[in-house]
Amino acid sequence: MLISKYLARKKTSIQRIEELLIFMTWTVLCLFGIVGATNHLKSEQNLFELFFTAIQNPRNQVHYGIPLMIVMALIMFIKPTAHEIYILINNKSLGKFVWLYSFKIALFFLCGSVTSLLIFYALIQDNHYVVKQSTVIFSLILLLLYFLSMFTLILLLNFLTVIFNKLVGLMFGFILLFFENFLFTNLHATLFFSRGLWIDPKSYNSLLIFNLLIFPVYLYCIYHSNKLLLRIGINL
Amino acid sequence: MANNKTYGGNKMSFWVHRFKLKQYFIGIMIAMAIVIFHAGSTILNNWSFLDQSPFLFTPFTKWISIDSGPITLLLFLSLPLLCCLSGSQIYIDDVESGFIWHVVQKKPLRKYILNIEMISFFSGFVTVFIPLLINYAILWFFLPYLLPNLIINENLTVLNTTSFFANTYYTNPLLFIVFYMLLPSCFGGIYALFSTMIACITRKKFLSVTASFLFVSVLSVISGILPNIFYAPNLISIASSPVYLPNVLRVVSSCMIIMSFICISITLGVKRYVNQ
Repeated sequence: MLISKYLARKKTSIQRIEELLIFMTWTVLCLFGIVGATNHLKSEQNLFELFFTAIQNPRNQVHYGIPLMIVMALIMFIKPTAHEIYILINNKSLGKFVWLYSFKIALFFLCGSVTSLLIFYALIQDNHYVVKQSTVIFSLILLLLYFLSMFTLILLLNFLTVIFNKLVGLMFGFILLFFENFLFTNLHATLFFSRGLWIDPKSYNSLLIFNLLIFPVYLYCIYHSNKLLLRIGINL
Repeated sequence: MANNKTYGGNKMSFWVHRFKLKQYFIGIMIAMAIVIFHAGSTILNNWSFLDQSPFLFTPFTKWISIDSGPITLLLFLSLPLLCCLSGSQIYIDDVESGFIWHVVQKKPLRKYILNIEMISFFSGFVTVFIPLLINYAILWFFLPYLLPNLIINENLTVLNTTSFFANTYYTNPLLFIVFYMLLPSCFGGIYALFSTMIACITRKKFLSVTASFLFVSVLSVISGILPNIFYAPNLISIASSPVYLPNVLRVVSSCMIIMSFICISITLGVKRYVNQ
């Protein structure tokens, strides 16, 4: 059976309700973030600029965005049972299972963020916010960075969940956030989070290409180490 | 006879024995690590300046809840999670191990529910109270015990808009400290009770551990936009709060209502599970 079909069949109605609630919560959070960011901007603002100011604001992300995303992503991930792990290993698709699941969760969060922007655009009545077409490509690159960083983080958390448990994944996520925030406060640069999940306004243009290249490297490293990780973790 | 000894003759020792599991102490250990790190770094950073202006370096001005630094925010933002990594997991452990079926045969269900609620509340309470007390005790040992001064410590944001009973800070600071130890501890108890309620409803361990954190974080975000309607319990329980405070009566009444709602939900959840 295809893993995507298996994932769809595996879900119970309670899990679907959970997903719906998480989607709504994430969308509302992003919407509140956007509304909060409107106070800092002048009139005649680019809507995309407002959106990225809200969702990639370092302070918002450290205090609320990333911790909540870590918790929600771990709630959404359903750890395979012992029988499922046995079957998935026999089919040589345990790694694929985790990758596909992580991609789905990251896409889910991205959809929530974009939905909040659409809701905001639908609700505002004044002409203060405009869509500048010249910034579409730049915005798409930022959105891609945002998605890639979410995907990489969720992938790491899910691998840890499969090997250990969700609590270990949670602890790892929070320690990583604490460490990265410490680096950001003292050095104004981080290894991971400031590459996409939050962006320092001073390094918007200079590091964009570097940030775009660093995520394929991270993903390549995870891809080649996941077999080893699973072999060590599950004692294959 | 053996059963009587365990469950009837010496009930306290049974519950104490259950609390020997390491998993019920993760939250308090992390909180202790944070407050000890805070106290250590505060003392080391200020040691050389103590002779210059001792009023700025008293236990009252450097206590974690008043010293509005990143470590304070880290502790208070993570409290909803830490409080749930405590004895509030005892119910979900009973359900997962099947021990609940053994207990309900030996003692009345109402008593068991009351025990679960009390254990949850007090474990959350202790998870906050002991680290705050230890932080104050360490600072009290090393920094000069001088009362806060209204003029010299004016820059400390102990104002009526950001602290409950702000005047007490200058007249009777110890009372102020005790109040700000009890307030977050009571909220800690409510976080733990909320976690037990989610465990009763969903019977999912991870969801029950993280539900309080999720709920409080969402409240924090919403209260930033709508401060007149919502308040974030973790932010208002900081002595020098980063947000404007609601009325004390509003806080007390909302806590009472929420606690009653949680207790009723726990009772219904346990009864539904046992009678299924």
